Amino acid sequence: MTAALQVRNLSAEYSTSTGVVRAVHDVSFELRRGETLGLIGESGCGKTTIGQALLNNLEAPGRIAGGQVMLGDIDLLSLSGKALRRTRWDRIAMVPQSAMHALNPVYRVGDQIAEAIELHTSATHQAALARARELLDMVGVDPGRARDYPHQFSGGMRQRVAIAMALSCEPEVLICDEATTGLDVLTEAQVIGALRDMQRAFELSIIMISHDLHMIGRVSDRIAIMYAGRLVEVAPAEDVRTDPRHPYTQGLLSAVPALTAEPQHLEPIPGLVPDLRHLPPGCRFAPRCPFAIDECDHDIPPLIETVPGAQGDRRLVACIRDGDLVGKQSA
Amino acid sequence: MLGRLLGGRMLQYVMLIVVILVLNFMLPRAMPGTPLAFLAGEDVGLMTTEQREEVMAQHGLDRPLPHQFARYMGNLLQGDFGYSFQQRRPITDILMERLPWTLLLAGANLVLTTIIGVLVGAVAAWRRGGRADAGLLATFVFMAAMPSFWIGMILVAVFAAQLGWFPVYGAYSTYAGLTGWERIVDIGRHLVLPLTSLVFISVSSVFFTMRYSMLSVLREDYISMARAKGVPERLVKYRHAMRNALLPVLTIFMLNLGFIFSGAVVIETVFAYPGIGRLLFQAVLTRDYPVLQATFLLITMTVIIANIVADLLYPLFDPRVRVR
Amino acid sequence: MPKENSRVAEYWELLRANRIAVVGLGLLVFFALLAIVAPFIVPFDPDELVGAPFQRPSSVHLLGTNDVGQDIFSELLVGARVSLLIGLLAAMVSIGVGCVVGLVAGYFGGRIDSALMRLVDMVLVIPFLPLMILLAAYLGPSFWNLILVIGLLTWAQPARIIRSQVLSIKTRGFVEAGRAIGTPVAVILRQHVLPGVIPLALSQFVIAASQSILIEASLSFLGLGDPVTKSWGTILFYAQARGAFLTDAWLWWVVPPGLLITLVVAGFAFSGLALEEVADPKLRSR
Repeated sequence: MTAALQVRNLSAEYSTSTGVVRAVHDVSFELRRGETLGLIGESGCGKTTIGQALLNNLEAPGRIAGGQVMLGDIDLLSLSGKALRRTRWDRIAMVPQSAMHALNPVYRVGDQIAEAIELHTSATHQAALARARELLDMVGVDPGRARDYPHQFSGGMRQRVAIAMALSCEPEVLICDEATTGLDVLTEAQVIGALRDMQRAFELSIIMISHDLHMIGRVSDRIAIMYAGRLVEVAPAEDVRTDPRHPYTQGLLSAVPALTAEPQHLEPIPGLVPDLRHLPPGCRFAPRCPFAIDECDHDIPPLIETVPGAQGDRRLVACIRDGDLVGKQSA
Repeated sequence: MLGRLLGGRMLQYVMLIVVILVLNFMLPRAMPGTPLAFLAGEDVGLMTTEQREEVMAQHGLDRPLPHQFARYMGNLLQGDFGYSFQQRRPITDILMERLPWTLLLAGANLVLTTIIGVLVGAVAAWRRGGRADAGLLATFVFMAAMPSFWIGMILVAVFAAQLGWFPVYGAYSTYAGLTGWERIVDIGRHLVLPLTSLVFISVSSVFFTMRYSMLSVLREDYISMARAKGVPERLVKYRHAMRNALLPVLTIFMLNLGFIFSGAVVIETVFAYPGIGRLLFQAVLTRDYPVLQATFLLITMTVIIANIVADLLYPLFDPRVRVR
Repeated sequence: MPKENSRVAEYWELLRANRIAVVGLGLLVFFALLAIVAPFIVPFDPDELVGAPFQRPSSVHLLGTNDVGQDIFSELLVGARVSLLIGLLAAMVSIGVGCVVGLVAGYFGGRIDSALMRLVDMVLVIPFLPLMILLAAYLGPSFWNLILVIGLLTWAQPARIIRSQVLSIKTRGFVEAGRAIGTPVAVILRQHVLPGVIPLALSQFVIAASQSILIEASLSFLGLGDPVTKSWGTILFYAQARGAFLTDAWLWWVVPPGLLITLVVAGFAFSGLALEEVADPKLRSR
């Protein structure tokens, strides 16, 4: 079975007055059909940039510096103009962080959903509007509210509207960028419930981007962990929880002492996310890593296969000490 | 919420109208000496004390101020702006004769200024940082820096006096007896130069507002979202960005009205255009104080009414301030 | 105060790197120098009748003579003083009032704020030139009346801008914290509010000066200028009254004063734009 989405060596950068910042550096992963992949990292690590890059929708001064985003045998990054407009949203769509800002304040939400349908199909405005109402109904919004404006919705309802808009062309892949951030716990659960229902109804493959480990842990099949523009670990959610391999992942999960029971590892990770303009030469986590050795500063560690997970699933980790630490752990 | 919002605004306008009326009423009476010269146009120095008192009584100026104010308001409410002693006829008649010309000039200017300012401002924003943007910015700063009357004088010198393409002054050819279509063309030809000067000085503020507003709209998430949805660039600009970027323009549109009337006073003077502005200027020259006051009152009231209309129309363009 | 110095240095760097600022400040320096040295370099006393009226430009009278035989070139040089002085003084009145209103409204908030902002909205609606004409006609044309009338009718916009700056400074929490622990108002203002307001007030001042010069020109052109001191607007008033723009004289009697007004106003406007960009990082181009 082929992957729903195959990302190869994706890099993206921003040009600023103080130089070029590479926000996403050589990121590769695959999204399997029907799964939910969580993409997690601290703020400023390049998560949102990846989200926009996957849609080939980076706004200046951002730009894609290289790589491929394969939807089947189409590389979305190689498309532009009309071809890009036709493919995007039709096969890959996005639920943005804040629908408050992502919905145009001067148009009715029904019209905004219908607009996407009209652009991608030959549907008339009436037919598209009818479909928009159906979609709203499916995500749990009263279809009569298609005539309302974005500011008339509550935060949770607005996110549902955004989901309906993302599903308007029945895409295969859905990217949710902090789609539940800022909602209260109850509302978050409802929105995630709506997303899950939609995943089943539309056989969606979903990438959930967030900084919220608990939420990602609950909803994801597999988790990709990002640090300073690079992936450091990709593994099934269960394995990340029970047996995180990368020191950064362990730091994130510090409530679960994996390597040692010494109390200082229960603390938050010491140090700061590095400035993307002044990165260490080798492993980017090395300055904060409790296990760093001299070699860690030499080369960027590649993301390579490590021991399989509990269910025998493939796991990837980018740490040259992976083998040593495994040995240490079993000793 | 809208009701309360509008209520507050309306109260403000009512207060403003009261302030303007009181100012208008008090100015001549607060001046040193007798207000007769200001209110009745009489040559006070040549009169005997008895004569003076008689005239004072005739105009009710011997009564206490509240009585005078009541009389003043009563007259205004009946549309009576007083009497011009220089022109020897009721001021209301003079105003009604002048108003259409100013409305034509100011109205045409408002339409042209808005269209040009919005379109060019949007284009500058879409090309932010480019050569076109920088060039337009510099051009509009210079245009805003030019004195309106000077532009008028230069236009007259070049296009009327030297080239003879347009008439030098006035709003229509007197004694030509033109009718129908010919009259319209004649009025149009007279309008070109004053209108151009007025547009020249008032278009900049629309341009700057539109450019800034468009720049901030373009950074909004919904623009990026529209692109992601597959909306073609042209529609992103005109359907998604333009509608939102226009809202601040609508707000300064109101502030602009006052500016346009200010400009009209000067421009009408240069072109001897028979509108309200020139009337104000003539009243200053001849020290015809009743006309001066009436003209000021009319201009201010027109601007306030236009503001009220714009306030009432605003919700049509911005659903966020509409009633649920 | 090394922090203050570095901030000033940073502003200076930004200004120097900004081409608009260089053009604007260059124009201003030129006109300031001109205004200072004008009385010493004029070929003729601009108030004296030094030749036949309506002369064309010649080597003696570079820009000819006006309707009573005064040297137009000399009038122009000395006029720079009047226009600049009235513009700057009126701007000082305008920004002075604007700053006080903006600071009080923004700092104290609540009822004071809403009352002051109502007032600002009202002042903004009034068509200022007709009101100025009315006032000038009653008060009589004079140098100080012009300054007061212009200054007192143009403070509303700066007041609003300064208020919103104060409000945004307040959101950073220093002000509330300072008040909570009983820091005197003067100290809070000096340490936290003014450093953020002054650059903005400066840019507003420069912009107000450009507008004041234009308004003064308009009022003088309408014959409401100071009859004793002749500004560029007054020169144009006479040019208009004598129909200079209907003859060849428009080239030397009408064009030069207007051009000078335009350049000086543009100089202020460019400087104001550049200062605004320095004061408000949001406007800086990336």
